[in-house]
Amino acid sequence: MNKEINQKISQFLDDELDHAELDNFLHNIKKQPDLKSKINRYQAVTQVLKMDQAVLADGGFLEGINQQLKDEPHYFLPQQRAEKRTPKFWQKTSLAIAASATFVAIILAQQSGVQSIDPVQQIAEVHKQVVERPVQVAKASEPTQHERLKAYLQAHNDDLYTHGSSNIHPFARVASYGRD
Amino acid sequence: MSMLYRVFLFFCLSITTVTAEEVEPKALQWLQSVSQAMKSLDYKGTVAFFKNGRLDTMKYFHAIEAGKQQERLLSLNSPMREVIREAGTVRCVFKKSKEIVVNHRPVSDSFLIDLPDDLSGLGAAYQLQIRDEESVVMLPVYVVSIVPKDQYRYERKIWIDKESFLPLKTEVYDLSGATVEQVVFTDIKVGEKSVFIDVAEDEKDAKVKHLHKNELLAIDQASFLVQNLPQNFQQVFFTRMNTDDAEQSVEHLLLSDGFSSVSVYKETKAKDAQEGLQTLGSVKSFTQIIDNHQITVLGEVPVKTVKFIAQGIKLK
Repeated sequence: MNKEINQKISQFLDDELDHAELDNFLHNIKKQPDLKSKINRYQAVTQVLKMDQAVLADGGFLEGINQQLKDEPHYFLPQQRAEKRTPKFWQKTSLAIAASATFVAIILAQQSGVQSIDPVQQIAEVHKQVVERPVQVAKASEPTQHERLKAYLQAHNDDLYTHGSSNIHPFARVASYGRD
Repeated sequence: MSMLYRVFLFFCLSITTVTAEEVEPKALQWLQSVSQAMKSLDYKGTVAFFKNGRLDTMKYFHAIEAGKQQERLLSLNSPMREVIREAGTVRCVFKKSKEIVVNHRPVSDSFLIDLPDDLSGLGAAYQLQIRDEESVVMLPVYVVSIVPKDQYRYERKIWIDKESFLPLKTEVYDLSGATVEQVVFTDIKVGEKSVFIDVAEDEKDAKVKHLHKNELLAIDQASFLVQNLPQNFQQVFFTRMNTDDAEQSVEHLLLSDGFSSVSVYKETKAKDAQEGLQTLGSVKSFTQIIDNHQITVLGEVPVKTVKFIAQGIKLK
């Protein structure tokens, strides 16, 4: 069961779930806060791997993360991927029919003045929000937080000049949130 | 307990007390000599600064001219920079980017070690201990440990040249005993005249950024009160930064016990303000939100200290 959930997370992060699976998965997330926090951790790890900047965190904090990762067997390479990437003829046909039906429904709804909500779009929106939320928070907070800390440190500690780090982006590399 | 044992115990305790009383004044006298030597001698050499797992080696010059002091550092590695301390300012000239940062209110008095102006009050917060003699850059040295009496500050050790009384090496240790910072001369020449640099020359074609240019304000003008102060910490100065923009204005109060310093910053709460503890290398900071303001207490001190001070801040 745990293995299956981990595989679903991996597929979700790689954007490989089809609509039905995605719907089911998002429904499960709502019911399980643990699953949600697990996804957040994986997303944080993925984000760090994509970033150029290295974050030097407090040892205790890193140990905590490492322990949590150790406790969770993870499957970043989902199995049976090849099979899913070659849809059969009936899958293609049903997808084309669904797309046509959606298009006709939108046109009819617009003509009748009824405000309809496309379920596919709704799922996509939820998916987008879930995926993008941590990234948006990071982008909004990091520069100002770092700038503030840099200014504080510069004003406080003039011996920073002796460590070649008061120039451009020194403290982003040594800043971390954690415990002593 | 036999009478003989009691006499023996009393004898041992008497010897220990006499030794402890003798050691501290001697160490204090050495520190006073260090303070005097650092201000009055011409000396230069190469200094290695080790902090946050990073090693920087710089050429060091201390010059005296007409009663004025100038301390100068020249980096040997990138980013290439020259740092000059004189008359209460520290200016850092970045050679490549042609940027200059001028701090008009530096926290420290020296790049080598900060010594309190009044060493006689040290005993309230620290205990001085004399260690075994050693050698640094092939010179015989006295070794003095400055051991805090509580958990609000870090221990320091100074290796003092027996002849010149200059500090050839200093170390700061965290509460677990790990080295937080090390400053050590790898070579030194004492008594050789150094050139006094004209700092205005560098500013002609450079982008200059000033820190703490505003005049100092009376400490009672701060809009907050510091109710928790560890033993021996004093309020050193108070100023406002970014005064052009009231929204961005930051109040800065500096606290120090002579060796350790802590800054308190108060500004309007930012959208991304995060409460709690933050670790910035060897610097610890604690932020808390009070009404629409964020208070950050920051310093190279234990977590306990920044938290204790922050939690005692009250808005007036």
